[in-house]
Formats: sequence, C-alpha cells, structure tokens
Amino acid sequence: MTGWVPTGALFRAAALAGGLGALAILLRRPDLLYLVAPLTLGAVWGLARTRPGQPRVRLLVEADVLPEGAVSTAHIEVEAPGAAALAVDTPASAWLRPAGARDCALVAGPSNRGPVRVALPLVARRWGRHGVGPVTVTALAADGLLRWGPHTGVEETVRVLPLPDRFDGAADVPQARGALGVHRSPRSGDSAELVGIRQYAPGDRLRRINWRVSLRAGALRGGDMYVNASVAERDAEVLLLLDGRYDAGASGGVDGRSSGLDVAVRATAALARFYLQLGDRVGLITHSDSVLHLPPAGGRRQLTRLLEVLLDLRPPQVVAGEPALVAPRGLDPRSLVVLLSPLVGRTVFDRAAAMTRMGHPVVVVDTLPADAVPPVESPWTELALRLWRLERDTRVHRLADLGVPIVAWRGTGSLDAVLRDLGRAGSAARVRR
Amino acid sequence: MIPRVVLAVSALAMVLLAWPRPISFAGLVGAGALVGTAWAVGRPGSVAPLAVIALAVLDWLISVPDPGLLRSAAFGVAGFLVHSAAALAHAGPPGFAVQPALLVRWFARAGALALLGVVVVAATGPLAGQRNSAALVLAGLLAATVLAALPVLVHRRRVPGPVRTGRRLRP
Repeated sequence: MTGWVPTGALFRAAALAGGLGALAILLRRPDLLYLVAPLTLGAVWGLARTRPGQPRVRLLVEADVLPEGAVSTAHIEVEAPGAAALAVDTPASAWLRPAGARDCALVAGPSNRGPVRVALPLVARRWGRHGVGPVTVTALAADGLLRWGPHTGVEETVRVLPLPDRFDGAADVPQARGALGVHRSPRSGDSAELVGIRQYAPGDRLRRINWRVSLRAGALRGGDMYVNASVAERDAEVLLLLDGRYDAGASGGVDGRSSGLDVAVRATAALARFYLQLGDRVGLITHSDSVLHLPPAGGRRQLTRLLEVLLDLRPPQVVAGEPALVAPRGLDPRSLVVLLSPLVGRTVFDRAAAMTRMGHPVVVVDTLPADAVPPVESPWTELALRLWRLERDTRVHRLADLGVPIVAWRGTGSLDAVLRDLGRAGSAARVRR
Repeated sequence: MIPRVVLAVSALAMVLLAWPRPISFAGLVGAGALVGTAWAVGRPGSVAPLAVIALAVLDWLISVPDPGLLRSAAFGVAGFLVHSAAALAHAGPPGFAVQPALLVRWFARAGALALLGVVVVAATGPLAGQRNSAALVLAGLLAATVLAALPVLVHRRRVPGPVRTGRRLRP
C-alpha cells in the first residue's frame, strides 16, 4: 500500500508560481500575478490545511448467491478522511452489469468523518461464477495536489444459479428402485396409490377389504371377498449426463438468446431440482474442460452440490479431434440416464447407444439451439453446415431406431411423454438388439 | 468528461483573451497552445497543462502589452481553472461518471480561490506606485514567505508510508 504522493498538479503549481512570479518582476508585468496569486494561495492553503488519513476500502455485495434474473447491489465503502475526490473503478463481469451501466465513478470525498459509499447495481444475467472487482480507488486531496493510489484491492465472487427454467413433470420414471419414495412400482404393495380391486388372497389385511364391492358380490352368501389393490411406492435413481464439450450458438443471458450450454445447464438444474424434490437420488456427470462426477444422492444438499458443479462448466478449447466422452462407471442398471447434449460429434451417439444396449433407460435431451449457426468464414460454410446437419439427422434417426427417445428441451413437461413411453417399454418383454 | 470540457474551454479562453494576430509569432504560439490543449484534454496528468498555460502566458506577454484590470483578472482565473480542471481530470479516464456534487464543490472552491487571488493582487496594486512604502515592503515580504513556504510544504508532503493493519503473528 502506498501513501499520499504529490501529483503533477503540485509541481505545476510550484513551477508556475515560481516562474511567473520571477517573470512578473523581471519583465515588470504585474498582470501575471493574477495567475500566480491563486496558484500560490491554493497550494499553500491546501497543503497546510489538509492532513489526509490512510484510506480503507471495503466491498459489500448484498447477496453473493443469486438466481438468474435477480437484481442485487454492490456497495463500495471508502474511508478516506481529508480526501477531496475519490475515483472508484469497480469492474464487474459482463454477466453482472446492467445494460449501459458504468463501473467507474468520480465522487466527492467525505464531507464529515463518515465513509463514502458508492452503489453498483448488479443484474444476474447468466449462470456461473462472476467477479465483482477488484476495486481500484484513487483519492485526491488538497485540490488535487496530493494523490493516494490507484490502489487495487478487494474483490468478491457472485454465484449465479441456473434456475429460471421450471420443470413440472407428471410421468413416473421407468424403473423405480428404492424402497421409499413417490414413484409407482410395478410391484404391488402397501400405499395409498389405488390401482384396482382384486380378489381376496390369504395374507391380505382385513383393513384392505373393500366391503361395498364384497357385499355386492354376495360375500355374506358365501361369495368371494374383494380387497383394494395398491402398488408399492419407490424412489428412483436419475443420472444426469451433461455433454458440455461443445457450446453451440451465442449466449445472450437470461433475457436473451440461449447457447447450447445454457440450455443444457438450465435443463440439468431444473431436472435435478424436480427429481430431488420428489425424494429421488440424482447424480451428475459433466464433460466439459474436465470430467466431474457427483455420485447419486438425495436431499437439498445434493441440489446445492449439483448447482456448484454446474457453475464451473466451461467448454474446452478444442484444437483438433473430438474430446472423449467417458463412459459412466458403476452405474445402477435401473438408473434413468438423461443425456443432455447438443449432439455434436460422433462419440455422444455411440455412448447413448452403448448405454441403451446395456439395458439402461436412456433419454437424450437435444440442447442444440435451432438458430445456432457458425460464423461464415468462407463460401463453403453454408454448404458444410447443410452436410453436417444431414449427417447429424442420420445419426439421430439411427439412435431413435435403437429405441432411444430424443427430445428437444422445452421446459415444463418436456420429458413426460418420453418417460411414459419408456415406462411402457420397460414393463413389456425386453428384446435386446 | 466535464472536467476535461472545463479544461478545454478555460484554455481556449486564455488564448482568446490574449487575442494574437493570426500571422505573427504570437499567432503561432497561440496555435501551439491550442494544439497543447488537445494534448492536455487527452492526458491531463502529463506536462501538457503546464505547456498550455506556459504557451498562453507567452502569447499574452507578446500580444497584450498593457492589459486592463478585468482582462488580466479573467486571464488569471482562466489559467487557474486550466490547472484545477486538469488536476481533477487526472483522477480517472474520460468515461468516469462524475458526481454533480463533486463538480460543484471542486469548481466552487477553484473559483473562490481565483477570486481571492484577484482581490489580493488588486488590493496590493495601488501600493506598487508608492516609493518607500511600509505596506509595499510588508506585501513583498509576505509574498516571498509564501513562495518560500511552498517548496517546504511540497517536501514535507512526501511522507506517509504504509499503514500496518491486523495482528502481528508471533513466531
């Protein structure tokens, strides 16, 4: 940290006062004293009167965890006794700055002993970890003759959670797994989920007898007894496999266009929240610049952990070749695998097909934005894009022929129809191809 | 941006108050002052403001042999505003949003100092024609003291070092 130092203005004042004073005497031009006098008075008055203290800078962010679209404020508090002016420069991430906002301000110094506060509005425009600062403060004292700084100091990180997309599914997962939960199991069991009425069998509890139906059937005259049939409720294990190896399209933030990675991250967060609220266990594997594996677990803490993993996603710098898509290990055969991918490259199709052949119920969520086009770099770009789209469509159809449902993410209820179909397919006789 | 605008306008006022003939050495110096103004607006922390004031004073000395009180006072005020605006503009880049309260406080203080200087010089002016005047000697001594005090104050201001905060760790 540096102290207060003389500025160019002090040397200018001294040079002009001395030089012009001498000229006024030598050339007998007293009119020059009209310039010498305020320079001298200002310098002497300012330096003799002002005793600036050591400034201290604090940065306070009202909320360091925000959902996308939320608004917050960063407060920069500068204690600078004796300072006449403060230049406060607070660069913030482009995804936190409101449109047209300046991150630098020149404000008056404290008129009393209290600190000077500068408010910086923040708008969480895109998920991720975004920096506020480092704050650079320059203080001026004695009419600009003394300067402190520029001193670069404190900074904060704001975590913006990708949670604007709500997913309200109604369909059950194809193969429920655990012993407790809210999904209907194909097995019969004790629950409030009524699936029909069946004939009494030895072992049925008396409280399950449906007396109305049994009486109509003549149970008192020696006829059959009937009981309410219900199915067991089970929880499920859902594995979200996020392919972040490529980001297609440009991101415009929460209120603009979405890139492929935006769609994938927001869909992953929405799916995770939905299934965790149901009591299911959710795991996550992300493939971006590194492979991150979050084992399946349930509860609110798992949602927090999962969102933290999503915040660090960055598409890798692809130089040549296709980045690998690692096969998930130790995966429960009954886990529902939701693969979120822009379906770019060849590996993702092979991986989805392999998991389906292994017997996992796999759903592919296509996160490629419809308006994503590469920059036109040559006359061949458009033709190459058409060829690539044809090739991609062919692979998508091949994957669909294997029985892998592929849906585009549309938020609420995107997966319902797919999960219903998978459930029916799961209860039917399986033929492995 | 406003401090830079004040700097440019004040520098222009200095050149206009000298009003040099275009085709002359004074005109050339005035043109140099205008070029220096553009430089000073771009880099107010450099020697450009000093050069602008120096060139404008040279222009003034050549073009205005016998100025009146008002013209001299206006020239002095404009020169001091160039200095003061450059000091404020040096605090940050042109894109800085300047708080209106700061502008008012800064330039009101600069204007007050400039007017005080004019009053002091105008008040001591009548003494200049008197020989063997005790008041003239006193004013001269006062001015010399102030000019001598300035370098001393500049030297003393190079002092404060870093302030240690927090607890010292024991080995």
